[in-house]
Amino acid sequence: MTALALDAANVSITLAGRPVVRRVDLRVAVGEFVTLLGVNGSGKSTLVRACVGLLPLASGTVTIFGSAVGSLRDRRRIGYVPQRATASSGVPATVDEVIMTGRLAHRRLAGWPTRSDRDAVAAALHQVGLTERADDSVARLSGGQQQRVLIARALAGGADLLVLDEPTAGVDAGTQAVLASVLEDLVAQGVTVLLVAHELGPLASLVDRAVVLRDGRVLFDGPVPEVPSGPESLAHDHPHSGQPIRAGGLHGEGIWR
Amino acid sequence: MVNLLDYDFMRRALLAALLTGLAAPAIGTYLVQRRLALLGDGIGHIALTGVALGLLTGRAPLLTAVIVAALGAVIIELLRAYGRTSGDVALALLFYGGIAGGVVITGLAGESAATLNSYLFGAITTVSDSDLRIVVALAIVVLTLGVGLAPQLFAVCQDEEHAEVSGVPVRAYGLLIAVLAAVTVTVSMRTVGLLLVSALMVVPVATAQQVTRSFRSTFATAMAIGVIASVSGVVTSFHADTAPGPTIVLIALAGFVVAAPVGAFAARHRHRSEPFSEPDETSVIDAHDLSESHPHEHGPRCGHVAVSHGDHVDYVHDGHRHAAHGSHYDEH
Repeated sequence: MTALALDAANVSITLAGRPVVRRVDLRVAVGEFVTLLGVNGSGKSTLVRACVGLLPLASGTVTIFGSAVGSLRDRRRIGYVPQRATASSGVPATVDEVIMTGRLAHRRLAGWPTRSDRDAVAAALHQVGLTERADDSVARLSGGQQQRVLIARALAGGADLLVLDEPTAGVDAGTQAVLASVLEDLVAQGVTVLLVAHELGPLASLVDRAVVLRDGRVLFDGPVPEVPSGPESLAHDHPHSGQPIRAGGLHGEGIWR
Repeated sequence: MVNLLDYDFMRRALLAALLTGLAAPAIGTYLVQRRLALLGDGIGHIALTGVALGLLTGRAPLLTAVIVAALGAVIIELLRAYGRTSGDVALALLFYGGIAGGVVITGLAGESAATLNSYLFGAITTVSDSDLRIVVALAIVVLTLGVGLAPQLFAVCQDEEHAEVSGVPVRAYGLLIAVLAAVTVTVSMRTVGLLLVSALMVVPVATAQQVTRSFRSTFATAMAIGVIASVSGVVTSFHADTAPGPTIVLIALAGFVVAAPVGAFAARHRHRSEPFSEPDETSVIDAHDLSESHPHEHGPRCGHVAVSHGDHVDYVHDGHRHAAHGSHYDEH
């Protein structure tokens, strides 16, 4: 049996008395790239927030690398990109300072960042293409660039499991391309990825498996349907057959609706 | 010219002002970062009940105030963290309870309004040796924790959820910030008074961030501004015969009035020097690739896979996606 990076078994989550996730199983093997899809309110964000230990479970268990998420001692193994519109707070902070918080699990309680902390931050900055902006205030960056800062913060920790909650929501094409190239590198390094998304765009080719939620239940779990897009698709002189592209579960009312 | 340091009470006042000027903006930076700028105000009101309890029981008001203020701060933080009520409502509840309780209990203790005033607006020149010892000890605790735990406190205030996933005990740090704020309020009580203490926590931070762009420089600049305002406020009040607490606050506000246009000018200058920022969201929205015409209209029965895409549905069409737009289809 393949080793599991994340094993959410029979998970139910209740928010303010309302069941939001109902008896969901979500297994992600080590090195796998899984995307969690679904419309707003389908429970996908709630499920990943519970998987990283931010929300209590009404039932079921979540295990990360073999330990219950609540008692996972080595937090360095999880990198988390929360769903946030901005990377800024009430006080100015530089790009470098925000990304350095991604090293917290590596650092001692007090003291200056070590050489390896600074190297990891520099590498993460380089990966997302923000090296030039390291000393700028995050509040001065565009929305897409701030999203890259959040991604770099998760990269700086050097996690084995990266959980990204809608990092592509409302960001520019440049950031989507940066994210695709960053994730491609990580997949090549054997990092496990769980990505919550509305649409995959340039990430679609990286995904091993898609899990689609609707009304808090798993509607589909299998290989991602091929939906490439791009300028090359403009030129297509083929007969319109009207035939379904894929048979079975993907046809009809549309699994993603 | 009169040498201020010849007077015992002025030496004590200046030392208290120095420590208050350092501690209040240090904790204030974290409060502003968490968007809880008014927490200091709420705690100040609660501390008044603590002062009144001290007056009633004959104990040092500074000590009873620190205990009651810390308890109040913990309650506010718990109400906020566990979502029983929003942060500002939690604050308001304790705000009113604190001030009403303070006035009632002071009355029961047989103390006059003048006594209450010295706590509400500060009475730095009446700081006694024993008061000073408590102020010094508490200020050292606040500064040591506020500066020493800066990486953790910054991370918690910047993004609580990310910090929690990183294994930082965010609830404990949230309580620590609340208690440190309560201690700071009590430390500053004799300097600027409970009604104005929040000004010394927030105004130097607001002033600093007009001209800074990093957290570290905001933190350090706010503390420098706090010290300058506090010490010069005490000196000015001695010469001009004004109330020290409000003088300190007015000097701090004057600093903000000077810094705000400087910050606005610097921001405009930066904007001019880099007028073309990187392409943003609009570039995606503007992309509008038209598809060729269709022999049929896409719909639930056309046979193409439907993909929900924001506010509309795309149809997968031989390897790309079509979205209806007026009389034609767009490539998505």
